[in-house]
Amino acid sequence: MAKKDDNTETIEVPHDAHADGGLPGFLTPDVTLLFVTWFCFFGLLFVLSKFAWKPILSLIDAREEHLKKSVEDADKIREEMASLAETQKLMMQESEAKAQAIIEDSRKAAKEAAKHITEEARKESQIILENAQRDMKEELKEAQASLREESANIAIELANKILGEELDDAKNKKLISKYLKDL
Amino acid sequence: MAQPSGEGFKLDQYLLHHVENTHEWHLPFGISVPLPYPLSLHLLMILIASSILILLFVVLYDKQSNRPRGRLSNALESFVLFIRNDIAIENLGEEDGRKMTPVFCTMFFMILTLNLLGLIPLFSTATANFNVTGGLMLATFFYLTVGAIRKNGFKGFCHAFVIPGVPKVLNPGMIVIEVLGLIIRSVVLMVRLFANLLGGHFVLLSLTGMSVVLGLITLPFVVPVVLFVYLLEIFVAFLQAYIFTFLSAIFIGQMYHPEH
Repeated sequence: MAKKDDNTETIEVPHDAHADGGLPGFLTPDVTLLFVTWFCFFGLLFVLSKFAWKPILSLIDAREEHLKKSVEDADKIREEMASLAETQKLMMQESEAKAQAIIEDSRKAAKEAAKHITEEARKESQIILENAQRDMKEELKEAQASLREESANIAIELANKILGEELDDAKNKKLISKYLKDL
Repeated sequence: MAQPSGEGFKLDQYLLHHVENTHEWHLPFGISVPLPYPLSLHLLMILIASSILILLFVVLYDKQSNRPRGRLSNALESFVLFIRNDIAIENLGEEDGRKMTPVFCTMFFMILTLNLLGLIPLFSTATANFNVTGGLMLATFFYLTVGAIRKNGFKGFCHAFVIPGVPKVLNPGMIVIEVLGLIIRSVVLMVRLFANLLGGHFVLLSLTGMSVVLGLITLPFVVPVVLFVYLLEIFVAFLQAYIFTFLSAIFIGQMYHPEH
């Protein structure tokens, strides 16, 4: 490949067509190389298709499908979560409304009960008062009657003493009753 | 390899030597491994690239797990996904895109590996040889013609060359132009890849050769520039693999779905 020329070396070019004014070596058509390259390409394509591209592309497709499914699942779960959150919010609002209604009803019922109890107590006290008044009146009447009778007895006694004449009890009472009626 | 220095150094020979498709594999310390016919250096690179791809995708890629595992598998998978979604499905639709993904994956990774191999010392850039890019172009051409006929039938395939709305009298001429367009588009694919890779290597080799011609004193200036160009070449390796695959997908998509 290299040849000695005194102290220097020159590089030998295999094809000297260039020096003759023809095509340089790298531009020389080589049909064998052309078709061998073509066959090599298809040979490599055959081998790689069978043992590399097909499995690799299937793997990529499977992974893409898996990723797509995962993303879809994640979206679905996210939507479900959002829906659940919405439902939870609605339920909370409903519960709050129900609780509020229950409290309101209880308050109303308590007020009613208090009013009723107060009314009952008022009625009862009224009855007690009326009874007491009636008892008092009756006792007063009794007292008046007793006082009247006592007064009559005292008056008779005094009259007996004054007149010195004693009348019998039955006549006295009759007389007193007559006087009292006249009064 | 010889140690070029001073006056005896011929830059043009140095450049041609590095891009030549020989039947010898030059290893360090002047060791040359002869390659038996029909095996040439660039064909050897294709075989090495194919072996690397088989090792990467068949052996090292974790295909057992349903979850991403390891940086290598994740990195490779991101490329596969990109090719499937943004190249194949984008240009051929969901159904055909998925069917054609293995073709575009093979195309992209084969070109990328060949491009990157060329940037590693000891290896050679097979994609800087237009016979190799021509072979790859023929693969695209195969799908543009045989694939399209298989998909749409011969009538449908021919119909793809008829532009709707053009007067019938102009159709023969238009069909010739369209057929030529199809061939030219494919040839341009081949030339673009080959020329970019070859050009990049010429720039790299010219810069390194320049330091030999002008003297080692230029090394402090040449090395940063070479490093920059080298990084640029790594970018170009990815870019050209993407462009070849993407344009192939567009052309195949146009032939598969001419109504669009």
